[in-house]
Amino acid sequence: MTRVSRRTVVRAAVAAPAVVLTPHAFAQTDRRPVLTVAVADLPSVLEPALELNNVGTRVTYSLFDTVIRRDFLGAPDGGGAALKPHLAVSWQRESPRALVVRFRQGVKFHNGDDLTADDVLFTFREGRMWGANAQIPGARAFFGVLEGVDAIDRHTVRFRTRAPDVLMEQRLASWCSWIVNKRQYEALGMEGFGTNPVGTGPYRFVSMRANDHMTFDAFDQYWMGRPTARRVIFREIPELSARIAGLVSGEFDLITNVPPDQLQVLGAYADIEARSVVLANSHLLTFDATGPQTSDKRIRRALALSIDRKKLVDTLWLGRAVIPPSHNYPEYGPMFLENRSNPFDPERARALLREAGYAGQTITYRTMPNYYTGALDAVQIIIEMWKAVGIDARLQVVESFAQMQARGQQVGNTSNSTRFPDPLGALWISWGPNSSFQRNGWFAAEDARPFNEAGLALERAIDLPERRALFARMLDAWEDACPGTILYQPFETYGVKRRIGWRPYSFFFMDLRPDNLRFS
Amino acid sequence: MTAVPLETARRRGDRVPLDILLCLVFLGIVATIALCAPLLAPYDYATQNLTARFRPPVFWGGEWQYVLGTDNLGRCVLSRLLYGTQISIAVAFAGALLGAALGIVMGLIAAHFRGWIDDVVSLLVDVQAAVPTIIVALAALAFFGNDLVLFVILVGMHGWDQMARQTRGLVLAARAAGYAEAVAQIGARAPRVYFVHVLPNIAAALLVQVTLTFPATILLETSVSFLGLGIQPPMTSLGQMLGQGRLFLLNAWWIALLPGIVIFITTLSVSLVGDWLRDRFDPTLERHGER
Amino acid sequence: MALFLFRKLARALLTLVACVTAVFFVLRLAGDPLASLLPDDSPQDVIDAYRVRFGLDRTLWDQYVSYLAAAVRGDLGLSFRDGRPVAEVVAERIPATLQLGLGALVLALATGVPMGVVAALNRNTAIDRLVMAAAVFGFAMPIFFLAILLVFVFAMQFRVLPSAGSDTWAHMILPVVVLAAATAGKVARYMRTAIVDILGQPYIRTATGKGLRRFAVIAAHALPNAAIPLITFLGFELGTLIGGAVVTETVFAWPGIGRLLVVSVGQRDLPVVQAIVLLVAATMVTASLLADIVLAWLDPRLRTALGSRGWASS
Repeated sequence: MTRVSRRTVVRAAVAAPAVVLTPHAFAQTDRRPVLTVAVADLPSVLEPALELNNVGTRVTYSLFDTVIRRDFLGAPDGGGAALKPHLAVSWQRESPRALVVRFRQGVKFHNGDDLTADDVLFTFREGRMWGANAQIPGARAFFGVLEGVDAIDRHTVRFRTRAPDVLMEQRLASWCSWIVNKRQYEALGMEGFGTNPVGTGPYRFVSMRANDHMTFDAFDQYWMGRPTARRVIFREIPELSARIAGLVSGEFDLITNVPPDQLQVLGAYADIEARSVVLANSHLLTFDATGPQTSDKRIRRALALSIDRKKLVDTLWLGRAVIPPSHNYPEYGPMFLENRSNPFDPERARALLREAGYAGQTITYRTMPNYYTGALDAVQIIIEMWKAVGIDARLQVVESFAQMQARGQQVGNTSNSTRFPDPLGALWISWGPNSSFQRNGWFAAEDARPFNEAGLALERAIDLPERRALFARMLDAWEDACPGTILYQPFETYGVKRRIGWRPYSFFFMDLRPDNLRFS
Repeated sequence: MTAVPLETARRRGDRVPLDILLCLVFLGIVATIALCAPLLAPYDYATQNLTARFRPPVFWGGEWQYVLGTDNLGRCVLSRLLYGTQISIAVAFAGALLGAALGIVMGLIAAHFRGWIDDVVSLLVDVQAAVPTIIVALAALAFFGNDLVLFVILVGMHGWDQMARQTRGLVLAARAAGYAEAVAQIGARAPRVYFVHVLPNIAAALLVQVTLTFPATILLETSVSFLGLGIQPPMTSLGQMLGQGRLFLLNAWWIALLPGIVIFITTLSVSLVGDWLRDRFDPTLERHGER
Repeated sequence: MALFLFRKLARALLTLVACVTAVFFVLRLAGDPLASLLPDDSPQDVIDAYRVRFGLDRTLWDQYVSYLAAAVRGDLGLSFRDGRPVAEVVAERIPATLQLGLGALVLALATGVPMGVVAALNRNTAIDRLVMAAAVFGFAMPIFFLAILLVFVFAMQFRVLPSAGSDTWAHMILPVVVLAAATAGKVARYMRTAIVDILGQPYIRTATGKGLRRFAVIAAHALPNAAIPLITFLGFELGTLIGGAVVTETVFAWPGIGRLLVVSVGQRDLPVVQAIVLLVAATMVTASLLADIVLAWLDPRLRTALGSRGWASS
């Protein structure tokens, strides 16, 4: 690999204007390195709001910008929750139901267009984000509260909500607020845009091949400054051992999804480093209320109570994963409830099983082998823990979500992300009325009623003590119905070449902006 | 039949050569394990000891509690190796028997009826030969989902085409020799003629054929399980142990290398013994070797 | 020869049609394709719409005929994963697999043939036993085991060779060696047997008797004769190579057909899986047709034997 000295950077900077005029000279003068990232999976399309998941946002974060930026790196653990200007330079409340946002001037899209209020309105239009038949159903969880978005001038926009909403700023900093280019989107439609995206991010789309790779080039007119890598290639390498071997043998600069067992392996190489961060994402078990046995909430609660989470964390996660106090996280700040826990109580579990008349019927636990880090190991340990209280669970390894959620499932796994630091950005999105758990009846309607009442009230509440009380009610209802239970917040480990200066977030985004990617 | 010139009279003495003897001893051990793994294994294959993960084998500085060390969940590698061998051999053996039975029946049908039925069977053989079994197996597991019985059937599909070809040729040759016709003329019915009079005469040759396809059957089972699609946890097999264990090559090599070595020596032994049997008993057998 | 060609061609086509038919009926046997495509709770009108779109509302025979017609046109449907035409998804992976497969074939022949010749010429000596031991080792070694051993040694311990992807020539080394090992071992055994046998033939003995140099005799007589069984063998061996490519491409993250198959099986992308099965069948049938033609051309006596019945073709 070429080393980039300060002199070459200066030389490159001097040469930059010439580069624009003579594309051919580009290859010779651009001494910035290429960054190759091996990921476990790639999204199938790059319409940013359509791929709201770990796999999609990891990549789209480099192509698009959010309105407001959550300052993850403002905290030492990569989980900062402060908001700072990004595409928006400032924002202010007009009323509890309206937020006025002033956008940065001179921001360019990859196709040369200037960012204007038109693009913002297009991004947040009813038909895409929040209407009854919005193109992107998943977006309603973030922006369903909107009543309208209007342009005040070329760079100022007003977001109006139907009810008072204290979270609008957080929503605009979430992974659903990426601004898309109106001209490109209108020309190609949703599907075409998905394979030929145009945003304002530090890298612009060059090419992709399904199940193989995506290539992005530096967008030198990026408003935060010139990107530090000439090109970024995301390679899809589903096999963990191939990712690690590739990092070791020098083909990859950075790899994702390294399970804790492999830290020792990476530690054996002087030029490679493991960088870990506890994620704002929890692994959960789901209990299907439509299944035999798991239809009884006493049995569901017994399943949850008999898991020794500490032991799981100590063995599988080197003691470094975090067991959150229920579906309730310190990053909520004032909304965090202190007196909660995620108890391990095998005695209580046995009592509940007796009460429910459980007599050793088989309970089917379905899991995909590689989707969630460590899932296959965790499930085998959990089944042994259940055996200790008399539950007979049988493991069924499946290949897809569709198979996992097909009829006959009793226990499955899932993960819940904290999309923005508030119960409404986590518990409510994951388990609320729009979630698949409620729509499919796995979180049964009668169980969900008190949960939904509290949640709907929380959506409209603005007073903090009232909001805390409503959140507590929601959490009580969720724990009582027990449609699922949290195992732990895993830590995500990236394997990185030591010479690459890059810090991970506590979320899936990979920040490759010039302020967080350096080569030495 | 392919006109492959054969080296004749190789190893035709009565003494069993040393290498073959070693192979036979090893295969004897494997067969014993396959038959009574539960009696031999110190632990159950799924018993975890989470405080004893990644323990090395005795000869690598470990303790006698776990002779061949433990894996990532603190399970005894020796026990898993024994159970894994049992499963792998059982699946491969069941598959090989199934394939042989199917092949023999198809070959008999083709040889007996001749005419268009013969043509249909030969077309089926061509279709089978046109798609490598591992691809058929992966596709079928995708279509139907993972299932042990299906998996055994898929493994059994391997090699039936060669068996059918072989049987048909041998039966036709036997008929040409005349004794089948002779028996038939006394009034015996066709199945009886074939199963009582023809099969025993060609049994040795067919047995050798089974031996020749068996290593490929083992490799098929282990390959598919290695890819994570055959035998599923908590059940284990040699291929699955290797597939899961290769993640730990750098920090716990024994998890992957030990099952790999067992697979290797087993296929090697069966191949060598198969070759030896062929040369000894049936020099006319076509030499497809392993496909 | 024309009749022979016609027969072989007809036979190959028949085999292909049988393969397509088998895949079609196995797919239908596997249950409702919509069950794996649509979520469990899909509304009835959505299910109906898909039924019409995939033609599932028509009779089985109608479906079969239109499926056959579409397959002939190369129209294999759309990938479930990203909605692109399957033909396109599969086609873009072909070059990588060809590169790997041809590389392995060349390497296998380049090592296997000389090994076999050397062993045959030094029959029953230590050299023979050594070479043959290496050959047996090659084909008894499970391909996935060899693959991870080589990755472990060359990529992770000594860090001299890349192990994932296909960016440079160096990337080819490990996967090609892994894929070639088994075939090379078998080629060596084949060649040894063939040469030993030919050396025993009267005409070769006569030739050596006339004082021609041994090497010249082998080059002029033995090798061409050995080529005939070798070609037959390679026709079979193609299947091994394709099967081996599945494992090799997975271990080495090689962006070819084999890895696409494993990924598609994992994602239940049935149209892609089905297309790959048909592609492999077409390749194998074509290869065996070519092998037969080459054989018939090399040795006209084989034409009657090869042409008579399907059974004889292999």
